This record gives sequence, C-alpha cells and structure tokens, in this order.
Amino acid sequence: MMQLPKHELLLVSLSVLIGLVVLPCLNAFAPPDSALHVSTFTLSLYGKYLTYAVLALGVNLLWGYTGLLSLGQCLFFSLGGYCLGMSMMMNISGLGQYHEAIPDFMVFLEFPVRFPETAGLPPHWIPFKHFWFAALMVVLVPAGVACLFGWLAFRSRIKGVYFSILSQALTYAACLMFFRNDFTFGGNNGLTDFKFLLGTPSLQPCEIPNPASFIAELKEGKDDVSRFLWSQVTPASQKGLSDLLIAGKTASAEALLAGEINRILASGTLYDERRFSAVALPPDIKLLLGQNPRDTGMLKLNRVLMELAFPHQVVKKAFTGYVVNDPPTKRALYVCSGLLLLLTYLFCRWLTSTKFGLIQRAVRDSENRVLFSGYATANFKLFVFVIAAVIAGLGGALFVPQVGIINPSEMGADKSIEAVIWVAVGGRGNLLGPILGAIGVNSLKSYATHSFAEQWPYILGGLFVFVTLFMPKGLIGLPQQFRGLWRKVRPGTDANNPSTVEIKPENTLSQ
Amino acid sequence: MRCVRPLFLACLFLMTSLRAAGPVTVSTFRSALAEAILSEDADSQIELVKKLADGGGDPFLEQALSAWRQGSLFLHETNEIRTPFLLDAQTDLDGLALALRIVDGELLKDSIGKPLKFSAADLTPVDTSSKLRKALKTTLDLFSLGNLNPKIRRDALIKLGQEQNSEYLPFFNSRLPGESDGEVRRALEEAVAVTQIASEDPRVRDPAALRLGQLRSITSLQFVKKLEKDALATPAQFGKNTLTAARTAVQQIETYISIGNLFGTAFRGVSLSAVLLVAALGLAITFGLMNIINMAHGEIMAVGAYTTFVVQGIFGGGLLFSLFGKTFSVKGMGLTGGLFDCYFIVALAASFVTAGLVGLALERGILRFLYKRPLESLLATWGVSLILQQAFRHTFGSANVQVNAPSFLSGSFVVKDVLFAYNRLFIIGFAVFVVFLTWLLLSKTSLGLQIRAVMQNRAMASCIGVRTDRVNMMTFAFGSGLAGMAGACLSQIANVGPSLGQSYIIDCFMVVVLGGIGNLVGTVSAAAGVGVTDQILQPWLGAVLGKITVLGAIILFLQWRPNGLFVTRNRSLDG
Amino acid sequence: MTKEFILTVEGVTKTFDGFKAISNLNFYLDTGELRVIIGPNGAGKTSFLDLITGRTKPDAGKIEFGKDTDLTRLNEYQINRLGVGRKFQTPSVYIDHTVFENIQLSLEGTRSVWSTLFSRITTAQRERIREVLETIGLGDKTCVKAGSLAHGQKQWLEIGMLLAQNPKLLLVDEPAAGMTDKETHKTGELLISLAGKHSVVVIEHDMTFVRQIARTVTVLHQGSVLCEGTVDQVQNDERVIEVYLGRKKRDKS
Repeated sequence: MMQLPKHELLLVSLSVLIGLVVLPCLNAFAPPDSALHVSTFTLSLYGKYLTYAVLALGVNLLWGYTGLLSLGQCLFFSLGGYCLGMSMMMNISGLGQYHEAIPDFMVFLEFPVRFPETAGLPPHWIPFKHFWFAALMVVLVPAGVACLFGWLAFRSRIKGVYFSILSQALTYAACLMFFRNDFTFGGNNGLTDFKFLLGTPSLQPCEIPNPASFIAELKEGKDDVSRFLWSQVTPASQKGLSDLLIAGKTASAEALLAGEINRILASGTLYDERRFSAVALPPDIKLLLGQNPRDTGMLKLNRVLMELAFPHQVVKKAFTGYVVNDPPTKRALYVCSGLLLLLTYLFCRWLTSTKFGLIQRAVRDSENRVLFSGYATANFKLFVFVIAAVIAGLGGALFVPQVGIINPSEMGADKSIEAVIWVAVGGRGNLLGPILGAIGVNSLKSYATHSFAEQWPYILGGLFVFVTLFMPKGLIGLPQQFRGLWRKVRPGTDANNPSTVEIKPENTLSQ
Repeated sequence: MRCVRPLFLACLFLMTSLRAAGPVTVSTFRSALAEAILSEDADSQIELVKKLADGGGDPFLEQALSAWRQGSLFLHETNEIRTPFLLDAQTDLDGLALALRIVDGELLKDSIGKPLKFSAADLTPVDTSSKLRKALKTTLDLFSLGNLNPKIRRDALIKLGQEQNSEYLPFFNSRLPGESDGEVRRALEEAVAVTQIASEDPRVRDPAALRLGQLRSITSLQFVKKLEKDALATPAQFGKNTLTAARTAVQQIETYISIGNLFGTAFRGVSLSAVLLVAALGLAITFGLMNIINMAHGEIMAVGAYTTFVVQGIFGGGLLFSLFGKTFSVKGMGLTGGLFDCYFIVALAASFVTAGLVGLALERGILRFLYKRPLESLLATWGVSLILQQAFRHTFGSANVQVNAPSFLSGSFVVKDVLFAYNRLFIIGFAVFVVFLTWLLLSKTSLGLQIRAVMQNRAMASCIGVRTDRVNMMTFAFGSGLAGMAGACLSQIANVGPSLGQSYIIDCFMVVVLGGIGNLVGTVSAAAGVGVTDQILQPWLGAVLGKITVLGAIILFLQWRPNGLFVTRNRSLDG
Repeated sequence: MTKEFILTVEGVTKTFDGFKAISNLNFYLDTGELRVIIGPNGAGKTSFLDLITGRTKPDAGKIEFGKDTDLTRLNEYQINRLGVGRKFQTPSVYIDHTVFENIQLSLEGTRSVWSTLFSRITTAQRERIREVLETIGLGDKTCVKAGSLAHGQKQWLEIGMLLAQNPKLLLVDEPAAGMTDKETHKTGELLISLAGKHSVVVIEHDMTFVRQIARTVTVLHQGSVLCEGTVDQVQNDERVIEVYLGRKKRDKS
C-alpha cells in the first residue's frame, strides 16, 4: 500500500544506516582521540535535533497536509517532556542538592508544608514513580489537551489564521501557568538535574520483605554494617520505628525504614574496608569500589552493597535504572530518537497514503467542498490535531533526558513559530522537507549562536521573510523552482508553465 | 548630601520669614532643648522634651532631636562650660565634620575663633534612656503636624491617630481651628475620633465610633472592628450602645470601601480597556480590514515608544544610540519645564509618522506579495518582528530606556479614596480620540470609502477603478501609525524596551478576534470586555490566573459566536 | 396525491443584515422531478440552495426532505449524507488531487474517520469511478491533476463527483457556465437522463439550456416564488416579463 519513490527509499535507508548505525558505533567504539570519534555531546546534540525533527513532522502533518497552522505545537512537545521529566524527577533518590527524597524544587518551595500527608509530593506526582504511567501520560496528556482544544476550536469552525492565533494563545496561557510556582511543576526553573531513567536504586518500601526482623537485626548490631546503619538512623526515627512496630503498623514502619536507609545510602559511600570485612564481595564489585564512584554510581553501588550485606532483608533488584548522564544511556536515547523519527516518518507516510490522507489534503485545499461531500471535517481535523500532538509529545519525551532540562520557556509562543519555520525552510507538504529543515536550521542555530550570537535573530528573522517570499516550497522544492525559472529564462520553451511561485487559487464557493 | 546644608539654611530662612513669631520662638525652643540635654534629672528631661512639641517647623530643632534620639548628639566641654552640638552631614577628606551648636545652630569655634572639626567615631554621644527616646519620637511626630506640606501633616496625623494615645488629643484639638486644608482637617477629626474610641468612657467612645463611621474612615476600620469585637466579647465592660455604634461604623466604612473598590475596579478596567483598545485598534485595521496577520504589530508599537524616547532626548538632555556598531550622540535642546513637556505632543505625531513609515516599508517590501497567503504573511511578519526586536537591542541597548512623563501626565488625584492617575485618564481620552479619528477616516473620507470598498470586494473595487494597491498601502500605513501612537502612549505607563511589543501582541489579537473582523464597534466592545473582566478577576485570582481565565473565556465565547461579537455578515460564504 | 414531495419548503425567510435574501418562500419538489429555477441576479437562487444544503439556517419556516426529515436542524455533511448533492456555481474541485481521486472522495459509502484510515478501494468502486469518468468524458484524464483542467472540464468533473455520490436530490447551480454550446447540450441531456431516478433542481440563466431541459420552471424574485409553470407559460407571464425580461429590455435601451 505504501510505496516510496525509489530515490526517497535510497535516501531514507542511507540516512538510517548513517544515523542509526554508523554514528552510534563511532561513538561507542572509535577511540576518543581518533578523528572518527563522535563525542557523546555531539551525539546528544544530534539526538536533540532528531526530536525536533519529530516535532516538525507533526507540524507538517497539520500545516503541510491539512492546512492547519498550529502555533502551539511546542506546548504538546513540552507536555510530553514534562511527563517524562516528572518520572525522572521521581527517581531523584536523595541525590539532589538537599538530599531529600523529593525533588529539590519541592523542598525549596516548602511543599512538605503544603502536602504534609504525602511528605511533600503533590498527589498527582505520585503515580509518576511508575515509568509505565509516565510513558502513558506522555501520550495521553498531549492528546487530551489537543482533543479538548481541538474539539472546541473545530466545532465552532475556527480556522485559518484564527486557529493559529488561538493556538498561540493556548500555549501562552499554558506557559504562564507553568511559570507559576504553585502549579507544582517547578515554576520557571522547570524540571532539571535528572539522575535515573526507568528505575532507581533507592530502596522501595516493598523491597523490605520483613521490616520487623530487619529492624531487630539493625538494632542488635551484630555486625559492623548494621551498627553503622543504626547509628546513622536519627534518634527520632529510631524511636518511631520501635513505636510503629509495637503499634503493629508494619507498613508505616517499612516506609520509614526505607526512607531512612535511602537517606543514608544517598549521603555517602557505604563501603569501608573494616565495615565490610565480614561480607564476601564479588570481584566485579571490588573493581567498581576501586574506582570510587560518586553520585549516581555511588548510589548504585551502595544498593548492591546493601543487598550483599543483608541478603535476606533486602530484595535483590536486577535493574536499578539507567543513569541519565551516562554515555551509554545517552547513546541509547539518541538511537531511540532516531527510531522514533523513523517510525513517525513511516507513520506519516502511511497516513498520507490512505484515503484519510486524500481527505486531509482536500480539507487543506477546499474544506467546504469536503463538508458538502458528506465528511465531518471537524472530526478529521481533530484526529490529525490529536495525532500531531501525540507525535510532538513523544518527541518532547525524548528531548528532555537528552537536554537534561525542561522549563516553561520551552512552550513559549516563539518556540512553536520556530518549529513552523523549520518546516517552511525544509518544505512543507512532503515528509523529508521538515526533517531536513529541523536539522538544518538547528545546526545553523547552534553554529550561529556560538560564532555570532548577536546576529542570530537577524538571520532567523531574515530566514522567515526569505523563505515565505522566495521559497514557498522550501529546500525540497528548490530543484523544481529552478527548473521553472530555467524554462522561463530560456527562450523558445513553453512560457505557460505553472509559475514557480505557486499562489494557491482561491477556492471560492461563494457567488 | 552635599546640598543639605544650604538647603536647610534656605528652609530656615523661609520658615522664619513665614512665621510671624519665628525668630523668638525658634531660639526659645532651641535653648529649651539645650537645657533639656544638659539637665541631669531624667524626668525633667522628658518633661522638657514634651514641651518642645509646639516647636515644629524648625528643621534644625528637628535635626537635633533626631540626632539625640539616634545617639549622634555630643557635648563639648571647655572651661566647665558644656555645649551640646551635632555634626554637620558634610565631612571633609579626613572624615571630619563641622560642629553645630544646638543653642543657635552656629558653628562651634575654639578660643581663637577657628571652627572646630570632629569625627563622629571619636566622640561619645549624649546618653538616652528608652523612655526619653520614646518622648523624643513623639515630639518629632508632633513636629510633623506643623509641617507646611499638607500631605506630610496628613500622613503624620494618620500615624499619630493610630497610636491611640490620649496624650496627643490636646495637640489635635488645638490644631483643629487653625487648619485650613480640608483633607488635613478630616485627618485631624479621624485622629481625634480614633484616639477617642480607645477611651474607657462610653460617652466619649461611642460618639467617636459613630463619627468614624460618618467620616468613612478607611484607615481606622481595623480599630473600629477591634472595638466591635471587644464589645461583642465582653458586653458587660463595653455596653450595648458601644456595640451598636461600632457596628454601624464598621458597616458604613465597609460599604464605602466596597463602593470605592467598585469604582476603582471600574476605573482600572476602563483604563486597561483603553490601553488594549489603543494597542489593538491599529491591528483591527490591518487584520480586520486587510486580513493581514501582522505579528510585528507589537514591534511597530515599540517603534512609536522608541520614537517618544528619541524625541524626549532631543528636547531634553540629548541621547546616545548606536547604529551598525557605531555609537552616535545627539545633542539635546536642553529644554526644561513647560517647553520640555511639549515633547510628548511632538512625540505623538512623530511616532505616528515613523511607525507609519515602517508599516509602509513592511507593506511594500513584504506583505503585498502575500495578500493571498495569510498564513505566510504571519510567518514573514514574525520574522520582521525578530529583526526589529534585535535592532532595538542594538540601537538602544537591551535594557529598558527611561521615558519621563511630562508634568501634566504625572501625578494623580483622589476622589473618595479612589485614585485617578493622570496618565491613565489621558489614555482613556486618547482612546476615545483615536476611535473617533478612525471612525472619521473610515466613514467620512474618500480614502475610507475606498478602504471599505476594497475590504468588501477587492476584485470589484479594482474593476471600478479603485487603486487597490495604493489603498492597501495607505490602510496599512495608517494602521501602523495608530500602533505607533499607541506605543507612544504605552511609554507613559509601561516599560519601554525591546520586548514591549511581545507583551501586548497576544492581548491585541484576542481583542481583535473577539471583536469580530472589520468592525470598530466590535473592537471597542471587545477591548472593554477584556479589560474590565481582567480587572474584576484580578483581585480574586491574581494577575496570571486572571489572564489565563480571560483567554479561556475567549475560547469558550467563540463557541457561542465563532465570528466574534460583531460580524459584518456578507453573503459570500467563505467570508 | 400519489407522489410524495422529496423537498418541501414552506414559509422560509432568511435575512442578512437587514437584507431579505429569502422571504416567505414556498417550494415543493416531486420525487424524480427535474425543476429549473430562474430569476434575476439577487433573486435569492443561490441563497435558496444554501438553505437546503445547511450552509445557512433560515430565520423562519420549514425545510423538509422526503417525508419528515427536518433539514434546518442538520448541518452540511449530515444533509449530504441523507442524499442531497450539490454542484456549486463556480466549479469547486480538489485542485491538488487527480481526477480519479476527486471522484473517489465523492463515492457513496461511509464517511467516518476510521473507515478512511483502513478501507481500501475495491474493484467495484474502481469500476464505478471508471464508469462515472466515462460518463463525464474525462476517461482519459484519470491521473491528471484537477487543477490543470479547463474550466468546462472542471464543471464536468464536479458533475461527475455529484454522480459518484448517487444522491437522491441533485442541486445544480449554473452547470452550463463556461461550457461550449455542444458541452452545454450534453450536460442538458445528462440532466434529463438523471431525472426520474433522481430528483434534480437546476439553477440556470441560459434560456436555451433552460428550454432544452425544463419541464417546470420556477421563477424567483426578491427571495420568493414569482410564478411556476412550463417554459412557455413563464415566458409569457406578465410579471416575469416585468421583473426579468422587462428589466433586461430596459437595460438594453
């Protein structure tokens, strides 16, 4: 059903080979000092561009294929990013500046006072400790917002520039909202300082099968590790643990104990030669200890040491999350971004080749005619809008761990318009143009903001003007444009060919 | 600080010449103060200080008292004679200052007549007890009652009244007959009544409470409320009459406050509406009549604002700006006073012209190629707005520039505790003027006729000989000119900086979308609706949530009327 | 009455900003009838079609389709799905789609988002499209973009789109505009052949064309029906001559 033109198939396969295979391999296997080596920083930078390209494909699906110029796509991009960011924030594991179980900004904004029942976590944050929930929200939140806004807008037949302006107002409103500290998403600093992805080495309450006996063992202090741990538990908690056990509140004791141990694990290296003299350590752990890891590595190691020291009290966890800033994680994220882009591209390719795609373009060219052919155009537009929002959300979700921060300025109106210009530069209404535009413009931006930052706004502004005036079909359309020009310039050829600058004929259904 | 001394000498001169009994009184009080300082007995010291309360109006005495209170008053001892003095504010290079005698304010000199100089750090200040310091403060407060500036008198009265110190009552009462300023009289009465409601005697307390109610004294509401609460809690001590009186007063004052709030909100709402209207009108013309989405509209407003800044510089002390990396300085005309104030009038006209020219260039250079592609015109103008913003940064710096209000626009007046700022009133007036001007242009001139013709049917208009190209150009230039004037106005109430435009653009678009296309009445109503709603919501929800609510409300409103408040219906169904 | 009305319009009024486009209009169309509506410019012909197809809602009056389907409560696509097809005055085809795709989009069938995603074009549908294309004489232009067709061909294409939809009621607004005499004649024949199976309302100015196809003619004037009858009856009607032909004569003089 889907046929790729031959040259496009070639181009796509080549890009996949280079982007998804060669570059990550060069990053992983080429020695750092060789000319072929691709640094993790560069790889992450390209990973960021790839997520931008995903966003651009969404914009293109709306603008290029359906004629809906949404100036709010970055809202969905950021919403997806926030959802994944929240999941990563929940894995902070006491490694923040304040060494608390909750993310730093919550400590800073005195959330423990505001949400005393949940120890400072706003209730809607709690489910985000499960990665699957966050992943679901990455899709559902943008889709939900898009669905509501789209339903309202398309139902009342808001279209054209009105739709653009209202979508811009929507982003603007959301941006204002996220800037507020009491909106519980970190205010203008947003979410940052991510540690682990997909899991955490921290001890979960459920990972202590028998809290009563564990507490008893610690209290008894038969070995050095127990003695050390119990000495680190605050006196108040020591008393609290005993009281809870007497009262029979095992679950609460479990939670309190887990919290205390997590605090201790995060506060410094657990290992001490004398302390662990009685524990048999496998050679690979010894090797790791020799490297004296800090921060996330230390926490992971501490967790393993706990498991080794108390094999019966602490559940052995096979997977303790990926360290966000580790080069292999970054590489994996890059590959995921590439795969997401490929899948999005294939999805868009499929969508535009179905009858739905025909109707999409028909709506773009002559919405009223479609309406009078019996299609409920509002539903079609809503569907595309939601799809584009989901695409943007997925892109945003992969953007955040690679960039390491998400804040409200990411959903500002200017960012969304920038996304539109990537599409315009690359060429809308086809699928390679937006990818080309997103990667191209952003590479240019990185280069320009490094070399001549002052001039960048002029360049970007000029790009907007130049592209709309002289390159209506973008880079992809350039060859065709030149061909048209060539025909005009050369005498004797047919001058009646369609003009190079395509002005869409007004579709008049009026009298 | 350098000018303090000459200034206070000048004041002294003014004061002495104004007050008939001046010189005698001044010297009497000063020697009384010197006596008090030298007195050994703490109680008599306090008594003497209290007696000084009538000596207000002598800045030196005031300075001396506060110096005493703050521990910067010193004694000079020569031949068993102790002379109290204070140090002049101005110090020389060695950190030494001249010493001024308390008795007459003259310089302290040594035996050969050479002025003595001291450093505060080397001297031991005259002792004060906390009781004495309190007495000094009270006296100083009471001094302000004699201040020539009615505003200071009034503020002092409000402060003193709220202390509810019955010792002040004689001072208040003695001032009442001689007070000529109405506001101050009212404040005096309030101060008396507020002091009196703290009285134990119901015959004094109850009428005072009622009086406060009659005076609608907002400042004393908390005290009357407290009285009400106390009377409710211990009826035996206060009696029923007190409760009734306090209740009545609280009710009267609260009603007055809510009415005042209502008018205040209404005024702020109207003034915000006027700002929005002035800002959105240009957009309503370019967007509504020409269907051009000018994202650079905000920056064109900023062009107007910066023009105002430049004109101000030319009228005043000159200005610096840089172009293409070179810094230029323009010498100002150095005007002051009324002539300088005229700059704003010139600036209004100039900003219309410059913004109009920028608009003209934009239309000729870019937009005329994009008339049939509104979405692309949106992108192109956004690009222009980026370029303009950066150009402002390069030319005038990225910080906000200072635009001074002409004297006739600064300040405010108060009616019934509602503040009316002149610049806000001006904008309201200006909005009315601009709407009138636009209406006049659209309905009474031939250009207006042509604009309307082009707007309704471009093809037909061009067929009957309207030069649509020229009409577009003129319309866009006019709309941009209006935006420029809006910018000039905004320079009076908002910060003028490179991002001035960005902060208004979305609101402007909302107004135009809400108002419906190509309709002045719609734009006016939408601006009024948005402005007033925003101000009504703000006290409840805060600025940000209020704004978000307004945005949400607009989206919901469009469900009901997708084409805005007022829509010029035409039979063309794609219209 | 043996036949049922397929379209009943009673007492319909529509005002645009004080201008009465349609005022107290009554109109009845038999099932299978071919009716031609004529009238001077601004008589409300197109507004009338707008009202039937749900593009605008009447201020007063009732519009019923078939026995008792109230069209005033439905919107454009719902009315279309009932079997009311419309050809617009200016040809409106999807210029960026091929001729084939234009017809494909108009084929009768479900119109839901889901079905368009997963349905594939069947052989029967392909046959039907080919058949329609043959009928409108664009069989050799299947893969040409509709935007590059000549004006008359676009008219034909839109008629083809109407046919593909197989509606019960066809509303055809000035089909002959931009066509050669020969094409016009062909259009007439097509419309006549459609009558019977379908009910057809044609709006037309071209009197030759009207004479060719019309059995009953309705004359609209200032938003209401001036008179109804055969072409001859109408052309000899005093009032019609006064408002329509009469004005033309004055214009000429």
